Amino acid sequence: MSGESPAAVVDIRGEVCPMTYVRTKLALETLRAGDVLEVHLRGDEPRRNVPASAQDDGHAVLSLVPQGDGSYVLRLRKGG
Amino acid sequence: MGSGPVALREDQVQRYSRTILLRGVGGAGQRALLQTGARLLSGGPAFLTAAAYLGAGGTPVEGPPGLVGPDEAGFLVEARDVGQAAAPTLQRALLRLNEDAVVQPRAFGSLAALPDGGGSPRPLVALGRRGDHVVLLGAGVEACGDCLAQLCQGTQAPVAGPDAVQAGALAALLFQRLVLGLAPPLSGLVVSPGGEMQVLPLPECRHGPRLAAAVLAEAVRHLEACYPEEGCGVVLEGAAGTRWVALPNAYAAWAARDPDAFPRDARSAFLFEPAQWLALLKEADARAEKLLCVVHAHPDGQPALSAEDTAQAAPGGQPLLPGVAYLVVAIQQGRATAAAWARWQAGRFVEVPLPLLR
Repeated sequence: MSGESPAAVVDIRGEVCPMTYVRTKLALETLRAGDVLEVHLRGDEPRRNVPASAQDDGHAVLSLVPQGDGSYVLRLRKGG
Repeated sequence: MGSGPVALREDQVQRYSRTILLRGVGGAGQRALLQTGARLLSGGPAFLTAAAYLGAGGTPVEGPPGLVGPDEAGFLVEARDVGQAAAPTLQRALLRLNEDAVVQPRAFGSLAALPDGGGSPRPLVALGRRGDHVVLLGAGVEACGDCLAQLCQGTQAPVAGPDAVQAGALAALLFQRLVLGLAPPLSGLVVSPGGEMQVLPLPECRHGPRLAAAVLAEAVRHLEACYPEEGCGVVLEGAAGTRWVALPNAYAAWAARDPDAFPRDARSAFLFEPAQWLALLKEADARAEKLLCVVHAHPDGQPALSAEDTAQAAPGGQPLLPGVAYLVVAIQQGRATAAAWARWQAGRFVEVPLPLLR
């Protein structure tokens, strides 16, 4: 469930590609397998690419929720 | 080993962002590249090209010995540097390229000219040629030195030529892959004058250990004395040679505490007491010794790793102690009858019989 408390939160709303996923990847590395990472992002490019890159790296996308101001909250579960 | 991982600085995150994105690298891999230096044991355009690629990637580079040669101008160094001491000249050039390339690393590997004697620090990339073909050999800490020496046969030192840039770039890439654990422990590559690359066939390792007969005899005496339980211990290797360290088999004590987690007994299983194991590793580190092999007995059993041994030594198909061999001694009625030396190679343990000299 995406209601689980995140183990960490990373805000990449001020970043552009490729730093959007670099920040996300580095944050995921600090977590244990199964932990949830919450990513705050803004814009169409990270909305498409960050979840896709995370999935390519073996992590699970739990949810991607628009916040109504052009930003999104992405929740990822770290893969093993 | 030193302390835990050091976080990347913000400027490093920015500089190495493209590398961090690569699968199999990430932040941890980039830290490894920053912390494992490359010592150039030879000079020449190929080695300076490798230095440029490694330095740009954040790997500290030292050397090479000798003076800057006339054929090296244009490869990090300039015409006015010819005849100057090569190592400080390269350090100045690397500092202009990337300040991370001149910091003191935690450990050094090496780049050497073929034929290499096998004693160069690992990871090692050796560069040379066979006829008009460029040869690159890569050896991680796990690689067998005898197999490396075998691969070195028939090779000559590299010469300056138009293929030096390609050879140097490949050497840097191979070094990085060894540091990251992405290359096999031993690998070889041949490049034709036209740039066609071929992987060198590797010998199946059938070499025994660097184990002194007296040390083996001491280990065997201990294992025999422990019969009918599984005796165990390790062999450490330092500058003064190898030494045997007996360790108590703690399996029975753990089985008494938690029989569900430890369902066997000390006749069929062994376990190092974690606190003793950690203390031994710290002592070895302080004495600049490395773990050569883990030793245990199979009372009334076979001189081979059991399925349980393999699962413990390589959980998930990856060796828990890279570069460390396993010595298994069969003990029949209290007397050692046969032994096997097992080394991780190409994704599995390869075992060779080990003569028990008395």
